Amino acid sequence: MSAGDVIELLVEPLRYSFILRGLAASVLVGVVSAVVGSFVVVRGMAFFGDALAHSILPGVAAAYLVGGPDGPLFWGGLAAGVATALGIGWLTRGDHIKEDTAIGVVFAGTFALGIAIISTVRSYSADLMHILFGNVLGVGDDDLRLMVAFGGLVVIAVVLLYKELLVVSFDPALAHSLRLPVDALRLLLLVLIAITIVASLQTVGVALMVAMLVTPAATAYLFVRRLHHMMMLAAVIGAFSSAVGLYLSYYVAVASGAAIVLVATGIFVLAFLFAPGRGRVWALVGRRRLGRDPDRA
Amino acid sequence: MGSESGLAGGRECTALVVEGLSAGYEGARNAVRNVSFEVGCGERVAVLGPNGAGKSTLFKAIVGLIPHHTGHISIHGEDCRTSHTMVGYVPQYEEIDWRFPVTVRDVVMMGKLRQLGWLRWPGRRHWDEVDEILARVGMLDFKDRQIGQLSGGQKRRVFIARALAQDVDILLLDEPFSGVDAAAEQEIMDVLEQLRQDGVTVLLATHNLGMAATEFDRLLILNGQVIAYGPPEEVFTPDVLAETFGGRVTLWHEDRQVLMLSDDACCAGEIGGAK
Repeated sequence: MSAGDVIELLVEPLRYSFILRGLAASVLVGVVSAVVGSFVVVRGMAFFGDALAHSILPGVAAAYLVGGPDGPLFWGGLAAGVATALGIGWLTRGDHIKEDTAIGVVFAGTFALGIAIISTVRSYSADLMHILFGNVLGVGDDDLRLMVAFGGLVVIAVVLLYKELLVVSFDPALAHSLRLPVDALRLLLLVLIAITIVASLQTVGVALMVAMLVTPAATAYLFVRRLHHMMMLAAVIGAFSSAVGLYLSYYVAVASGAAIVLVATGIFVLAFLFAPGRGRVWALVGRRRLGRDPDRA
Repeated sequence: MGSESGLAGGRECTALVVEGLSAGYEGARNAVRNVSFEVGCGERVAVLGPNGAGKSTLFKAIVGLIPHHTGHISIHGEDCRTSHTMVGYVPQYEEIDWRFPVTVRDVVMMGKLRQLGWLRWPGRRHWDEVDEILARVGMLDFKDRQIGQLSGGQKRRVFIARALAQDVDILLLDEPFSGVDAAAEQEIMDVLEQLRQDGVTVLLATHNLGMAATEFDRLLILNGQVIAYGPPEEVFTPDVLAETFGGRVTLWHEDRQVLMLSDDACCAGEIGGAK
C-alpha cells in the first residue's frame, strides 16, 4: 500500500460533512476528557465519574420529553449533571455516609428516573440507544459550537486553577493550612467533570463515558512523573483514540463510541505491558534474567 | 522570621498558646480534653504519648484542619482562625499518596502557593527559590524524582522543605521518625537544627523517647489530656511514664544520668540518655 493509498484512506470519509463534524467532536472530547480525567485518576474517582455520567440521564430525558430529539438535551443534561455533582459533594461532606455508598445510591436512583421518564415516550428505544451509546455522526453545527464553548471553558478553568486543584487533590491538609477554599475547589472540580461529561455525551454516550475520563489518563500515568505532563500526554492519547476509533467504525462498520473506547483500551493494555520501566513485561523479563526468587525482583 | 536568639528556651516571645482546648472528630469528639500549654519562640517540643493519645488531633486542631469546640489557640498572640502567621504541618506518612504524579520540586512549590497568588503559574524565579530550599535540606540532587522514588528520610525532608517554602514560623511534624532508620532520623534532626537557627518553633509527635529526651527543649506528654509538660529532666519521672505508657517503659536513675528503656511497638529496644 503506497502513501497515496493511505492518504486516500484517511481523506475519503472526510468528504461527508457529518463525518468531519463527528471527527472534530470526538477529538475535542478526547482532549477535554483526558485533561479532566487526569484528576479523576489521581484522586481515585473513577466510580464517581461513571455514576455522574449515568445520572445526567433524567435531565436529558426530561429535555427529550419537552422537545423530542432536537430538544434542549445539552442543557437538560448539564442541569442534571451539575445538580448530581453538587448533591454527591454535599452528601459526602461529613463522615455520615461513605463516599462510594452515596455515589451508588444517587447513581442508580437517577439512572432509573431517567429510564422511567424516557419510557413514557412511545418508541423510545432508538433515542435511548443514542443517549446510552452515543451518536457521534449525528453531531450538528450547533452541538459542535456548544461542545467547543464548554470544552474550552473546562480547559481554561483547569489551566488557571491548576496549582490550587493540584494541592487540593494531593494534600487537602496543606490546602487547609494555606487557607484555600477547599470545599469550593472540590465542588468546582466535580462541576468541571459534570460539564465534560455532558459535552461528551454525543460521542461515546453515557455508558462508555467513564472510559474517556479514565483510560487515556491511566495510560499517560504509566509514562510520566508530573500531573500536567500526564494531562498533556493523556490529551494526545485521547485525541488519537478518538480519531482512530472513528475511522475504524467507518471502515469496519462498528458503533463509533465502542470503537473509540476499544482503541483507547488497546493503547492502555500495550502501555501496561510495555511502558519503559513500569511495564509488566519488563518486570517478568527482569525476573527471568535474575533467575531466582521472583518475589525479590 | 521569629526570634533573634534562636536559642533553646528563648522566652522573650511566645509562639503558641493553647488554652483549655478540647477537640476531636466524628466518633471521638473529645480525643483531646482541656489541653493547655505555651511554647516560646524557637523552642523545640516533643509531643509524646501512646497511639490514640490525641497527638494528631492536637496538631490538626492547631493547623485548623479540625474545628475545636472549646478552648483557645493563639499563634503569636492572634487567634489561630484569623492569624496570618503560617503554621506548617508535615502529615503522617500514611496520609500521603506516594504514587501521585508529582516530583520533589512540585511538592516544595506547593508551599509557595500563597506567595504566587491566584491564576498564576510559577516562574523561573520561584523554581530557583525552590531549588535553594532543596539545597538547604540536601535534596537538590533528587529534585526531579517522583516522590514515591525516595527513601523514608528523604520523603520527610521534602515535606519539611515544603514547610520552609511556606515560610512558616511554627512547624508541626506528625511522627516523622516512624518507619525510618537511625541514619534517616539523624538527617531529619539535622534539618530541624537548621530550622532552630532560623528561629522556627517546632512541635514534633514521636514515639522515640530517647530522641525526645536528648534533642528537645520541652516534652509534652499527652494521653487524652496533658500528663506533664516541661523540660525532659522534669518530665521523665517514673510516675509520669507509668501513667502514660503503662509498664512498657523503665527508668534507671544513676547520679544525674537517666537511662530509659522502652519496648514501645514502634521503637523496640530504643535506649536513650538524658542529663
